[in-house]
Amino acid sequence: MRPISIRFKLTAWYVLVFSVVLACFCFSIYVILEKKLLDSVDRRLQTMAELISKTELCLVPNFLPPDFERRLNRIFGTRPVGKFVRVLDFSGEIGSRTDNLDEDQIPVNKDLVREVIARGEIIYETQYPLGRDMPIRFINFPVKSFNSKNVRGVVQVGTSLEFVRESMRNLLIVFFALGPSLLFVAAAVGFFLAGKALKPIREIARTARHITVNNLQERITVPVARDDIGQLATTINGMLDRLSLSFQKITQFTTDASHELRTPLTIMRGELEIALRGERSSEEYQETLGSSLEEVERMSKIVNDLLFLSKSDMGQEELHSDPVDLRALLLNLLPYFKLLAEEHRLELESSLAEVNSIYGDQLKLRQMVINLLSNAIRYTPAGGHVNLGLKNLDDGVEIMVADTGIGIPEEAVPRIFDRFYRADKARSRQFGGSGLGLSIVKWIVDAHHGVIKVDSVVGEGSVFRVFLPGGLPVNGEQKPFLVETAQR
Amino acid sequence: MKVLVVEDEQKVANFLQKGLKEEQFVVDVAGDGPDGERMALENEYDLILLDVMLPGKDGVQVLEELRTRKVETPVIMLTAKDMVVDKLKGFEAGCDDYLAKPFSFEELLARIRAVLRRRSGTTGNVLNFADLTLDLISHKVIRGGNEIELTAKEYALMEYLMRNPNRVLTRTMITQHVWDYNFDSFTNVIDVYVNYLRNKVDRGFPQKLIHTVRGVGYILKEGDKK
Repeated sequence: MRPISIRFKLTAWYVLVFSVVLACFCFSIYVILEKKLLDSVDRRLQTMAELISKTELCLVPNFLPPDFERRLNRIFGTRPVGKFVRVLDFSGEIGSRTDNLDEDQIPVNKDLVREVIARGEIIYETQYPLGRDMPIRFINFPVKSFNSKNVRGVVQVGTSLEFVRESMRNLLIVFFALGPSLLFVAAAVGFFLAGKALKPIREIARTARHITVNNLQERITVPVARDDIGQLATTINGMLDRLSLSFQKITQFTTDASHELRTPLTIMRGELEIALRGERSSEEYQETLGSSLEEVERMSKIVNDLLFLSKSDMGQEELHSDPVDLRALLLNLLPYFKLLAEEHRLELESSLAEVNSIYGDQLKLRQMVINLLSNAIRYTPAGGHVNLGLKNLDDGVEIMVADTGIGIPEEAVPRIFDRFYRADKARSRQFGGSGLGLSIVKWIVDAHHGVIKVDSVVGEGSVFRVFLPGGLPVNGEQKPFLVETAQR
Repeated sequence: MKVLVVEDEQKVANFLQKGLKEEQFVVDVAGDGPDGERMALENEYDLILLDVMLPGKDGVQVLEELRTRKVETPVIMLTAKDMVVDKLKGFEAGCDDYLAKPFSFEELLARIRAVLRRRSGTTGNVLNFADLTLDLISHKVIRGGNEIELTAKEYALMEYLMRNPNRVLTRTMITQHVWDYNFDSFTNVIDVYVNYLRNKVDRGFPQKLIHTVRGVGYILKEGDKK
């Protein structure tokens, strides 16, 4: 289903609300106006009735003065057009009346008259005279004696409501004629306004559609107004910034990974090709094969490390949470590294205190120590020292690996845990390694809720301190590594 | 032909050196950017193989510096980066060709020959001078329809002479481009080899091609008939 655009929705809502308001408005106008018109009719009827009741027309005992119409004309100065007047005695019998209506057409409502006489109050009534569809409005006005409260009779003044009806009908015509056009105008205005309000959003959408991996550096133009749209644009731009940074990291990582894998491939291809170009002695073949094997090992190491990191990125690397005796773990590793240090003509010293067991993954922690120690030995020139320390802290344990090696330049320290980052490309190549060792260390430390700190002085050496909290079971869920570095 | 290999990966530099030497090139190796730059400025090379990701100073920077200093030696860049942007950067800096790692050594050789050919203005893989023909790929030298058997060193010397015809080549220039040594006492060896070459190339032909320029060196030219 094609989505209905917000613009149409807004317009539809606008028109709906507008028509409801308009209908209420028209209805109120209609009701109020009708009431006002009727009121004004009633008031005029009352004025006339009052006037008539005070004249000699009502003084005549039998309510039958001669020349009724002529006298009326005199009272009002003119013949009251469209009005009809009759005077009733207290029994409800018609006395005088104008002759524009006869009695048959508007019979006297005796009950009402009696009620008027009894209560001495004005009562209005609307009647439909026989044979006419236009209602007539009556006032039944009690005529009182000058000196008493007694009602002597009733003056009835009536008028056709034709004018009121006509007015109301005209009003309805106006309503029905203007209503739709108003609604149409409202819809048009609503559509225009919605479009105007949504224009920046369309702009944002248009720009956003164009942004792909290839032009992630493009940004949405932020409107000058600091309104919701401006905020939306800023938010999207912020998201793009973070995405672009992540992509940069990923691209850098891919480039680095491909570079790391290409180098051994180049060596193998070149050496093998050259060996096959001519007859070689068996020593030369052995040398070439040995070198190729070295490169295969280097590639396996890189691929294994990459596999480990990619598994941990996806949270597939399972972490055990067992009590680990770190001292035993380190003591176990020491002989092997003592040999390695000897090979490099280094002094490997250790001061391992008895420490509390911590919860963790024995194999991973072992890997972490191996990586740290290998690095220390790799980057320390012959004759140097490597120190391995272990001690209890208040809320955990600290493993320390210190060397008197080449050190890490200050500006490189924040990046040494990045994958394939090499502080000194030439030297680290020469020393081997996959370029992923410290990334793995960092991952393992993070997985154990630990902290790793580096102090290093170029030419003097580096100290890596790993703090592992005690008594905290390891949570298997890990944040993806790449995202985490991207936020740094 | 004298080639400078600037490559920080020791093993890559080693096999390049070995392979090129077997193709009768004289090979020098520099392990980082600044070293490579210094060697290229101090010596005259026929070709430089330049890695892009170098410690100290990257390949593109080195190349730019060389071109600013008017060193017009042909350069082939070798790199693990094969994005178009990186290639363009290399060509902008003035490299003659670009080869992505891992590359085939045969392809590298073909490209080296192509670049050298372009530089010397010749076409094809055959050098011609008078009735003398030298095939750069099969290493066959033919004069007047007869193939001349040459040792590897003699061939290298012949190629150098034929790439620079009608130009006086000093003994020092010859040592640097054909042998991997760089000292004066070595010049005797050159005289010996030039004589070997003369015996094989000029003997029996009325037209002598290799001539001695007394006190200076040698020249390949069509001299007077004796």
